[in-house]
Amino acid sequence: MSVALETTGLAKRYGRTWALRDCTLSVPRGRVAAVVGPNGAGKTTLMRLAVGLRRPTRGSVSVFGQAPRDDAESLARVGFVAQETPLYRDLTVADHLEVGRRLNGDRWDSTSASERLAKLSIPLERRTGELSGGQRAQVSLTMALAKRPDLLVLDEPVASLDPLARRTFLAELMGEVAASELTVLLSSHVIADLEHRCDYLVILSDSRVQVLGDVDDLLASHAVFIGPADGPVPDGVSVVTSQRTDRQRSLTVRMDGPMRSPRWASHPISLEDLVLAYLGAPGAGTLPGPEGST
Amino acid sequence: MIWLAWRQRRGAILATAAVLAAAAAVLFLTGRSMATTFHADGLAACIANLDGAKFVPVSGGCQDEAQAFAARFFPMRLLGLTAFTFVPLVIGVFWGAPAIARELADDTVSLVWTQGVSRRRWAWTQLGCVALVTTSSVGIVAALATWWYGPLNAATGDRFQWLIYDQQGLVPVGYAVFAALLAAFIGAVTAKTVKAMALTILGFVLVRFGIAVYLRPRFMEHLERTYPVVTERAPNRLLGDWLYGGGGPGVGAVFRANGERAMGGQRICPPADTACFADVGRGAYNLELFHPADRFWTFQAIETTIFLAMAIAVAAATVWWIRHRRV
Repeated sequence: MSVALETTGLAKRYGRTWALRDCTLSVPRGRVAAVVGPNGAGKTTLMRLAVGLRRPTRGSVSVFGQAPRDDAESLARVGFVAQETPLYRDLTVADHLEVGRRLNGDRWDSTSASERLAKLSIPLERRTGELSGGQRAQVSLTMALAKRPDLLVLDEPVASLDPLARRTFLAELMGEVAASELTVLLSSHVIADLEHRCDYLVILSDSRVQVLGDVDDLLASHAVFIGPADGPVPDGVSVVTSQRTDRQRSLTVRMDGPMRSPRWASHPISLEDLVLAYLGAPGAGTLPGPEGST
Repeated sequence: MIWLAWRQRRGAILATAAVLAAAAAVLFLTGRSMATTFHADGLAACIANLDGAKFVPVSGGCQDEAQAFAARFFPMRLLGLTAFTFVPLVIGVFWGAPAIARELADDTVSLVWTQGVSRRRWAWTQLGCVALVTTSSVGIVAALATWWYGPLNAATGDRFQWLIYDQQGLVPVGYAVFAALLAAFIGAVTAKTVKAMALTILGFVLVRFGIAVYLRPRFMEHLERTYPVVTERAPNRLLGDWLYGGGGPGVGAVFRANGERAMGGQRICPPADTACFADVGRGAYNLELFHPADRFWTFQAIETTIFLAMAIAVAAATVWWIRHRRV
């Protein structure tokens, strides 16, 4: 399994505040990895470290085996769409494509960029300051894709979009990903958006990695248990969260092995419920490797 | 990269060109009216007739004509003084402050810093572009000002004086480029355009003042000249020498024949007027410290070089900051 992004003990401090602490993770090549977590969990910092906009205070980050460097060769391999999808307001869409062409050399894919924007009916002669949020996000994504990067990093690209624009944007993105070897790192607040789109999950909480792993594996190893309000917790599971009413108790659990307990009914868990369970229980966590849970 | 830097500024460059064209028209009309009067009144011919003489008759030397001319165009001098003094600072800050600060504030840096160019190249191109547009816009104003001041310089002999010297020749360009790159640096550090403007104005005024007042008189060793109190020929004030009196004992002062300092300032007495020199004696003499007028361009070159060197240092600091502190 070849690795696209790997971090070891990665930490970043701004002034006296640690934005990211002891972050160790790896994302295999070709995956669409979702980075979720509450505000201030370090998502933006992680992504900016991955594309070389920031340098680690401690630890290391490597993209396809190399630390991001401030040179043309290293920058060519990553595409980045920042939060708020910044563009030059006074420049037209066509100007942006020209900027991309001039700054990226042979790797830049002018044809597909123009075709993409034409398909989305984005007017090339309009200044980006006059575009809608959804159109700006599409122009940003187009710029990032036209670089033909190996790693595409998207920091909350849909945060400012309405639900329809959000769906269009993500569908477009998935179409592009399916047609290439691209590895994607994508953060979002809206977890429902990520379901069925991401196959790898990183949950950041309080500047640390809380959960890391393949989405299918995580869904298979977690479940919601419904059982008696006063019964003992079944063996062989780790409880992530527990909710009790007068009559019954509902557990979100990670199963370490097969579970047989007639008093508990097991239900499959959705990605959203899994993420919310962990976000609501900062002490719980699951990481791959010999150490298992933390 | 150059294309982007140019494209980002195209609108502002065109707007600046329009403003400069309007200002140039005003300068041209007023300057031509001064030049016409300068020749029509016979002042030009009178000064040419002096032929650069170091000493001229006390009651001659075109002084009356020159004073009439200077008085007539006094409002013009005030206008020039207010306008030209601030032009390099304003233009420099206008080009420099937003250059980096606006990109940081809008976070367009996260777009451009993830394209296939290094920050080093991006930063040097941006700063080079700032220096270029500042040089061209202020260069035009300074060239016009130099021409505009010609008749006034000749009629007042104060081309070398503080504030007048600062508005013509090469120095405005040096001032402006320094102001622009200082503003770009502060913008790179603060990421705020308005703050960069305010801090630049403060820093620039301090540096400008310090260099003009403390350093400029020391660019070269000053000259001394003595001439008698009782005389019919006094120094030609229209030559444009830079006197700086009042600085200390012996600077611009009157001495008795025995070398004892009698008073500060200057005294000139016709031989017949014995009352005029009764207190200092017939043998008394004036002493002046000065930089001769022909050092004007040397001083301009020295001061411009100082400001350009500071501008380059500030630019290097900006690039360093962008590469090592904005991470």
